[in-house]
Amino acid sequence: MPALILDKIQKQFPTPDKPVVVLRDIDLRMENGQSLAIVGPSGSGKSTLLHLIGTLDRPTAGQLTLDGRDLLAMNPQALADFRNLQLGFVFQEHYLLPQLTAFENVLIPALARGRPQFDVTARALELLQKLGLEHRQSHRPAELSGGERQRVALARALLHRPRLLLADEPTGNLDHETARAMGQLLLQMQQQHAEMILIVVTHSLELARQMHRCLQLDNGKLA
Amino acid sequence: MVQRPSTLSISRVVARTFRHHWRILISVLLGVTLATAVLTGALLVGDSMLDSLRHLALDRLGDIDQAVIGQHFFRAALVEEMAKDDANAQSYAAIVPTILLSAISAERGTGPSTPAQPTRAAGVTLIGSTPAFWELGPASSRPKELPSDREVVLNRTLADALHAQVGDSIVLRLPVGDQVPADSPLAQKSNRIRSLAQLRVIAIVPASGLGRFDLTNQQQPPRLAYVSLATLQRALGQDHKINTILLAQRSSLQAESLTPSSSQRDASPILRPNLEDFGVSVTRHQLLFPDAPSPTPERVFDYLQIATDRMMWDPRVAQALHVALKPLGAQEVLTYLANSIERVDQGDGRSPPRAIPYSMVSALDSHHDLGPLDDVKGQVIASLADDEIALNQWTADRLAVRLGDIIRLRYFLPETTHGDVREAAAEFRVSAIIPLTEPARPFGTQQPAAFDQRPTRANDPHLTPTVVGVTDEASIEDWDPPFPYDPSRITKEDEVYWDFHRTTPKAFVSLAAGRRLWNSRFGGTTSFRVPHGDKITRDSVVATVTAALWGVKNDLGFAVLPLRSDALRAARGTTDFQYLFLGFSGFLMIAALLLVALLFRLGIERRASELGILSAVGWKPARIRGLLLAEALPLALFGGILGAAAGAGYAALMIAGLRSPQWWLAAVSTPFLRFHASLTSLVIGASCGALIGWGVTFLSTRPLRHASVRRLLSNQLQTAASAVGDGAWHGLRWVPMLLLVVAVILGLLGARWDGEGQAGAFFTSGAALLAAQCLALYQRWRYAPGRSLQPASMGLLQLAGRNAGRNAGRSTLTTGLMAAACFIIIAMSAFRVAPTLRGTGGFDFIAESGQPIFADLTTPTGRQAALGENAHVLDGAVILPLRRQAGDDASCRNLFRSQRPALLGVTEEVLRDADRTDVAHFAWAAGMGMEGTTLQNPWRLLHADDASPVGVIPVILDKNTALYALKLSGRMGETFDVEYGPEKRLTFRVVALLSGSVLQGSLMVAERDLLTHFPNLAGQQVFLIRAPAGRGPEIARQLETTFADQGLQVELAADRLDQLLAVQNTYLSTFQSLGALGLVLGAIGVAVVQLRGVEERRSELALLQAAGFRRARIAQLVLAENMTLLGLGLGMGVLAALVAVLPHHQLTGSSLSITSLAGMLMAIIVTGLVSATLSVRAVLRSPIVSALRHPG
Repeated sequence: MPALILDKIQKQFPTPDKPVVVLRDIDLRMENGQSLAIVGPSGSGKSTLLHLIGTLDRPTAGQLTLDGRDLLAMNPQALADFRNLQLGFVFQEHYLLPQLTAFENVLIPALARGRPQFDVTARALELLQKLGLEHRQSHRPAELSGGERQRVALARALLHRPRLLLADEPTGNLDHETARAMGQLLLQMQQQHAEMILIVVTHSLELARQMHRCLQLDNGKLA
Repeated sequence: MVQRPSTLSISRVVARTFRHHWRILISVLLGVTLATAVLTGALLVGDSMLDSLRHLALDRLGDIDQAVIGQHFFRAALVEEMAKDDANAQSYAAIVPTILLSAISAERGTGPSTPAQPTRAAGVTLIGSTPAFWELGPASSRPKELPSDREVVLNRTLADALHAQVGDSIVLRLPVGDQVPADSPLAQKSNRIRSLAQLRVIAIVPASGLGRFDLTNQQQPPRLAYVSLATLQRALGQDHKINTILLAQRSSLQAESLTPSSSQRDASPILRPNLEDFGVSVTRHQLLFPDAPSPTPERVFDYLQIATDRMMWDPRVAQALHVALKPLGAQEVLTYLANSIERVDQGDGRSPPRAIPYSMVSALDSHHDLGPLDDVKGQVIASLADDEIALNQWTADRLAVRLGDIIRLRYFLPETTHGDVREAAAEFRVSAIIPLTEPARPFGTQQPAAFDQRPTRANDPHLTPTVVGVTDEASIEDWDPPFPYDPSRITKEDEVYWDFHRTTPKAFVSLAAGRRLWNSRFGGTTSFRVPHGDKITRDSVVATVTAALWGVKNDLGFAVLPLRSDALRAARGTTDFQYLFLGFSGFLMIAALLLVALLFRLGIERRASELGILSAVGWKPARIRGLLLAEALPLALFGGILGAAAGAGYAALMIAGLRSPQWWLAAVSTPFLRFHASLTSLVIGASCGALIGWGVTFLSTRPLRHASVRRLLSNQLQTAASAVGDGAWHGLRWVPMLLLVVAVILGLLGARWDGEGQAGAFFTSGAALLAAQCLALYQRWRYAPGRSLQPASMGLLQLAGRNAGRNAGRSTLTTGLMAAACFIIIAMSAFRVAPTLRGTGGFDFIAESGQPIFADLTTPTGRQAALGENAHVLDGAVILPLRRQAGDDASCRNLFRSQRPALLGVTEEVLRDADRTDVAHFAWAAGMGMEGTTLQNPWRLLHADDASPVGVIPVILDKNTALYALKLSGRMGETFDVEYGPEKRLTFRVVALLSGSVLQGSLMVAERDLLTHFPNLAGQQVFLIRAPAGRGPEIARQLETTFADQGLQVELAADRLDQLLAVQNTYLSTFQSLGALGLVLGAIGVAVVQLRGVEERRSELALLQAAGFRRARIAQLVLAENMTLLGLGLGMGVLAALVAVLPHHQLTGSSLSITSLAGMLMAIIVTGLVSATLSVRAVLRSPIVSALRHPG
């Protein structure tokens, strides 16, 4: 049975006149350890679809399950726990807290459940080391380059070894070389975490080709 | 090796956030500080008011705790006797003899000061004192030199009123005490004022400490003059006598707290007045025959007479003596002066009826031991029936009377009105003729008449009390009676009777009959007689009488008044200034808290993406809110502490305003307020401010509960829910029209009503218009943002207008709040009150005198008698008198709690004038039994016999006095009690309420009720005057000149009303001033709201820059949007307010202060411009690229 199932997902946004349908009958199945790139023209709903998968938004209709769990039936508290432990996000914008250091930003997910324990802080250091940021751990985002900030964001997303890693244009704000390196890092991290499902929304065909699958979103449908 | 960093905690996140976002958080801190400052400041204003009142109350008393204020003069030696008592010595540190004379007038004579300035002052209290008096107060209020003979010390208040300086000469007009009640026909009406002249001012003491000694509780300093006790005793002819004792308790017993039980701690002095102090004499009268030394003289009569120097015994005292003396076989006597005793012609052909003028008639019940009605055999004649009369032989012979004849007595009624005596008559049937022995030798100057034949018990002149100018004269020709007297009626026989019999009564009636004719509020007994014997001696009777009088000494003026306890109770005040200033500052506080909410919300929205990522990585909404609240907590705590400190400054500013004549002095009358801060208020203010501030930030985080994570990441805090579901508003397009119709209807109704109803209707009309505008604006922005901008009309202002409504909900809220605040602040002007004709009752002047005036100013005859050749000045004027019992001013001018409100006795003249339909009258708020009908003459309710139960006094008072001074409900029929002295609790029942009248501050009762409970009140002291057009000032001048000795002061009724209304109007001004400050803060809030909007549109504005817009042009665009919102808010508010205010002002003739309104609006617009400019500049500093790259 697929680990991730999207079944006839629909999303529309209300307006004073008539609702705007962004996603129509989206069906998607993904197995453990698979990676997927979603491509499509601007405004096609790629980020919307990613947000729905990441439970950052709710579909208008359809079903969404992960490992047999109906994500749409969860209450907000359960969803928050789910996101904390099972999901990891990397956005185009790094969304690092400017007042915290790189190390502290990585620990942010752990602070959701109380003071981070030793094992978690060790995990954070390990991630920073793997991503080549060991010597930058005490620097604030303003002191980091764009690529370094994205790597910190990636480390944050991987802190709890998520089941699902979602990246929305992770290389959109990076130069070509940095973007390529970032793409490599995403795949490496996914490969190092067995059963992690990676879904990337990207305009980069180079990145998309590195994924197991590539689907195009066009006119609200996934092909 | 890289050092392992310490782990992450919430507190570390909070600390880092503070360092990073300090700008926005500091502004939140300032908002909390401001709100706390306002809250704490209001509390401290209340503290200051209470402290100031208490300080005033205690300062003016010095060490004095209690006082005995006699109705009459008594021995100064009583003080020495009290001081020698051990119990008194233990309880009291000082017992000081004094003479206090209130409500006298003073006049400045010659001296160094410029003579052209006003020289007369009324309402002066004169204190005749010894050095011990000054020891009761602080040294700072003592003169360097105490006054001796012909010297006077003034307090600063009186000196300023007289424009007097040291060295000037002062004249004081003193009331001459008359033992006989002034309204009695036997009392002197004229020459009741004597002058104490040529007093040299030797010092002027400050109006503090004993320099403002006052028995009443008010914040205005009294006018005081001090002379030596001896000087005043001599001037009054009261050598070795005083009328006041001041007592200072030992400090351990002083009442300091404000608790009701403080009075229980008052010591009770041992006070033992003797008969002389009470004005009572016990005299043995015996008539022996023969009176020459004889071994066995016969005792014709031998009794002890108990008499009062007041001629009549007070009814309550008489009752006490009646009880005490009855076991001794006492006889009560009422002797009265008959203008004539005449035989009624019965047509039997006897000689023409004769009349005997000016004769004494005694009413008594003769009995065996005392007589005096004996027959020729010396046997007691049976008691007279109530229609019978007994004449002595001389009278019977003179009138040629037989038994059974009818005798007519003519007499003056025992009570006068305006000093006018009225004669009445009564007829009796002769049932006995009493033998009367003619003395062999007449009365000499100090010698009684001598008898060579046995006198009878009727030969007793002592049955008649002493009447100065009559009974104490050697010859009837020397009479100088206070009543109308025609000496031509005196015949030779009458003179002979006087020579041989003096005041021996010529006729006798029963005691009941006498009381029926001559009983009055002054009493119905002139003396008690007790037979003297072995067991009933003078000493025993003295002891019995003294004990009885001690039991009613309060009624005789020996009540101990707890001055300090009363003062402390009064110092609790009538108005709670804490709540008052909290109310005034409400807008300011709300504005500050809204600013806190806006700024905190701005901070949240700026960090929306941070909060979004927290949510995305699994932070629950509650934890995210908890983080924000943890950030807000130190802000709230620190803001609370800072705010409490700043609150002291705010309070000081408020107090400065209340002391300033240009600001709010009219609310408190005098600049007596001083700053005082209590720790309790500071702690409460800081705590509440912190709590409220923190609470506001909590509320600001509420949108996070349902915030979409996606939107947060996009830096949009607005929830998805707000974008849907508001179609309902779209369907309510008819509501603004409906509200407009309501506004019109209310406006029309208001034009037909008056008073507060009118003001309320217009206010509600304006509010409905405001709501209509706000709703219409929202609907316009939300559902019809406007046609597409056409190229020809596309300008910056049009774009700004479109942008202003971009976020319909936020923009409407912003403009609506500004409009509402503006509306309320301006529309409160509708409740300003101006002096109206009905407020003055149609009267031009109100006059008050310190001493009673007996002249009848209501009739031409009375005016002629009082003003002589100047009487014509009063032609055409209506002068209505009222009696007054002095008391506390229960108007809103007096901040002290009124415990004994002044009473006004409404006379018949006032009642009749109120029946007139051709003049304006007072406005009435309510009248008993008159709901729903026009109030014709509610004054008559004071006389409706069925209006109140027995013993309950119908009262009329001003509505403001009822509600604010006495804390009544304003309901008709409500009863309340007032203690006018120990054992003098009066119960009143409200029968009508005046509305906004010049009579605010007093309780109005029927004259008869006033005199029943205060029988010694004499004359009138308050006058309502209606003058013919153009002659008012002349009439006022003439009255003041004529009655200068009585201290009459005539004041324009409109001016008096203006002062009374000024308190309420000043409170409104205070509210409006502080509200305007709140609006200024609101203008900053609009800028903050704009800043949020601008930040949301950062990339859009950056795009404009990229497209070639200069920064200045973008700034103009944003400023225009800001001013559009501000202008709309102010415009809507002002328009609605004008609808509320202008019609009312037009109809009432009052004016709206356009200047202050314009000033307020200007301040708000300027503040809005400045704050908007600052916010725009902050945003436009951001580089274009980063704004385009990072839209949020």
